[in-house]
Amino acid sequence: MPPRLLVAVHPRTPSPSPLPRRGRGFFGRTLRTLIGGWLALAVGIAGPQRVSGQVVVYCSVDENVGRQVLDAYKARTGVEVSAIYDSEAGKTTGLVQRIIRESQAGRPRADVFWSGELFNTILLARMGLLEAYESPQAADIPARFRDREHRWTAPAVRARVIAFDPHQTPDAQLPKRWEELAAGEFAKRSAIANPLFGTTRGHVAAMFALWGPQRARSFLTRLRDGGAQVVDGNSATVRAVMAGRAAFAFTDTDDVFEAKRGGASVDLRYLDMGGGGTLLVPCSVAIIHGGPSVAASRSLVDFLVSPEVERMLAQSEARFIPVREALRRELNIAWPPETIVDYTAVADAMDEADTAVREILIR
Amino acid sequence: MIRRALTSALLLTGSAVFVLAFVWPTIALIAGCLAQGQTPEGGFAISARQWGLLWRSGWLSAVATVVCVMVSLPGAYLIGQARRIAHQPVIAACQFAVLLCPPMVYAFGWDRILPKGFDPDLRCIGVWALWAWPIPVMVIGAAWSGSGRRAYEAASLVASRGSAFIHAALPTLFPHVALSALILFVIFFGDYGVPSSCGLTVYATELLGWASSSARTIDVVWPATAPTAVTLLVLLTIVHFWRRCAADEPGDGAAFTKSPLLRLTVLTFLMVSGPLPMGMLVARFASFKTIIEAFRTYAFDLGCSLGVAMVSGVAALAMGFGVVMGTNRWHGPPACGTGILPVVPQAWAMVFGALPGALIGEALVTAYNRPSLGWLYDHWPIVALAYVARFGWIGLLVALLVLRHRVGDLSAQARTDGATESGIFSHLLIPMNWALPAAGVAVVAALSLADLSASALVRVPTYNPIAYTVMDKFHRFEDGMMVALSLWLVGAAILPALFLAWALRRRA
Repeated sequence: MPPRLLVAVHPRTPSPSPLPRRGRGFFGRTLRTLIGGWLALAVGIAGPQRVSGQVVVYCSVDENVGRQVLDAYKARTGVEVSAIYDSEAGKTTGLVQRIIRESQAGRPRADVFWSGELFNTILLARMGLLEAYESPQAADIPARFRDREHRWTAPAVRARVIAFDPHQTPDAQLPKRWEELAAGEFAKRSAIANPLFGTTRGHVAAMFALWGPQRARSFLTRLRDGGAQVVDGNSATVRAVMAGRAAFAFTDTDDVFEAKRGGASVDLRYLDMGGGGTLLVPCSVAIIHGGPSVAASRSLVDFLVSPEVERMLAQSEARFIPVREALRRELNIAWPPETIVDYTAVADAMDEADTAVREILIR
Repeated sequence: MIRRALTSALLLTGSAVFVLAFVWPTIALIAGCLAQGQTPEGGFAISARQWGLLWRSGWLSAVATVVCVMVSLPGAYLIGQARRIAHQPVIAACQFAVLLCPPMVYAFGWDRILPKGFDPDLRCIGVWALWAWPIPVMVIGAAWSGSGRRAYEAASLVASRGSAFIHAALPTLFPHVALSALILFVIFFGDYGVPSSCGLTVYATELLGWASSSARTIDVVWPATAPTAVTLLVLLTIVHFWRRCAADEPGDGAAFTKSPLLRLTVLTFLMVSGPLPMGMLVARFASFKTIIEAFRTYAFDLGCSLGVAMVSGVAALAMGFGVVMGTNRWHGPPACGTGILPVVPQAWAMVFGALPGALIGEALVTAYNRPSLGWLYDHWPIVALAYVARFGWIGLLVALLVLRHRVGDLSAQARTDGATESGIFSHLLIPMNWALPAAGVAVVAALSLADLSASALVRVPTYNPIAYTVMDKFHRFEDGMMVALSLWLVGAAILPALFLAWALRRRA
């Protein structure tokens, strides 16, 4: 590059003084810095490749709770744990689809799936994507919260409830059964998360399993005709109540507890889904078939289904309910009124429920 | 010699990024659809709900775009009037900081300020406009600082400077105003964070849900066609008007005039857009303990998110310059103005800009979820590629804006003196238009930092993008932590921005 070019064309160069050289130095330094920074970042982040004893978890339990538990495991064992948490848009379903796609591609990336619900885990088990493992730590978990073929274990549950503002809606005006929410005066003041995702999906599928298709479809139809709001998540339904846009929110217990902890004026009510109780949604833990670190994943599963972690979950802000009776007694936690459902039957009903939701509510 | 090597490296890097972010994912996406050969799960019909959501997304985005551009004009005037962004370092740094804070945080702040029953649509529009107005400020302001002032100076003899700017200067800046509007519309149309924070469901929300809930490519591709068509329509309209516009008149080095009133106006806008909603949250929720705890817990994610966002910004610009310079017209006789736009690679990148984030994520997963590509799929580069694929078109447009100056008198003089095209690029175009690429990097980095849709499907175990953490805190009602994380982001944004402004000022 001829030096006179710089002198001739640089508009801010008053004379052939050091200014052009300074400008060139600045340009060069900046580019070098950027390239250097890029390389440093590449080495710093991508450099540490997967080492033995590292385990990857796909986690749809709340990030703050999940991080706390996984950090405790890491501190105890020294095993590096990397986690991908669910996003608000896709929730558990997003991680499940990721597991399916990665398995179909012939290279599962995750070792362990720690889900905030059970129904999708059952579907994964049926697809042959989960590894059987009977954890000794799960021996005292009731049989209905364990897979007969040991592909999943379900410690700790949440309950499906309605959230409401006690200052706006007195007790006397609350519905007592889930079906009442589809009545005109309740429906138009209700908010429900998109039933194609998350625990709401399982809740609607449970209605199909318990009530039968006709009654469940009628519920969805009346909900739609009554003008119920469909929002994009359980917490959004609670926020709708907090903002006064809705009086009743279809949600989970943890959302209400967390909102209350944040100072919101909300409370919860267990509604009857049949048999006097509501749907309880268990978490679930499973090993991904063909995952990269079998030994490390078993060790992590032992930890996640242990009484210690169930205690941590119960004492967390989400206030999960332990499935171990001894632990409930120790922590003085009451088992909520429950509608007994066969979780595999709920998983069976999911496709039918999805179709009905698409045809009726999300159309 | 070093500059020539760097220019070649830039071109090569840009071309490689283009292939990785655009070409291969497109091929994989088409191959995926063909291989499946099935109809989408919900059928080909578009439901009434989908039309409703599309309509809501469209009008909200359009109104917010208009409001945002209007709100940005005083700031653009101020930045441009200063001739160099470095002459307004504090304002430039504050704008960058406003942009770097995830917009849903402002939405939540405004929720605290506005009355309980305030219309969520208006809140959404307001939050978008008050968050994104630094983008048109940077784009229009940078263009205004580098353009000629003869018409403006002549008009200012008979009218006020503000009026002269609007009536004489703004028409000559139309390509940049249109570029800003395009950027804003695409961002708003594809965003689901702010609507979600305002209690609204838009098309992007549901599209991301569909993308997350299906393992079949066609289930994402088909619902994405409607928003893509809308965005392409906007894109083509703006490009059509753009091509009819005259090129900028060359810079004439007009003097910098200070305007305290204007500066006050812009500072007021800045106060209303950032510190006011943030202040409400800080006053109510933030504590020193939470701020420290946020850093202890999320320092790694914060650092990685900022780093990957910056890398994406640089890569998007490199891609833009690489693609524009890599086309044969660059090496031939200078093309006229924007005449090089229809070149295939550029159109390709533009079309990707019209795609919803969820579809871009789907394309990347389809392309890189393979056993042999684990080195990419498992690590941060795939997240950076998602950002580049989504916002790379901004880099391309910035490159086009910078390189159109190569037809000016100075470039011709340089060619007469024997300069090569790469020499003109590195010695003349970049030093003269430094602010525009810098603004481009900043905009792409800021948008990447706030992105929730393109990267949702390509998250990696090595770090958790901070936008998801902030969103999660919002949904988990952890307001204190959400505010603390946002403060760290703003702090992280202000310091480098101030440093950059200081460096530029020293150079000036």
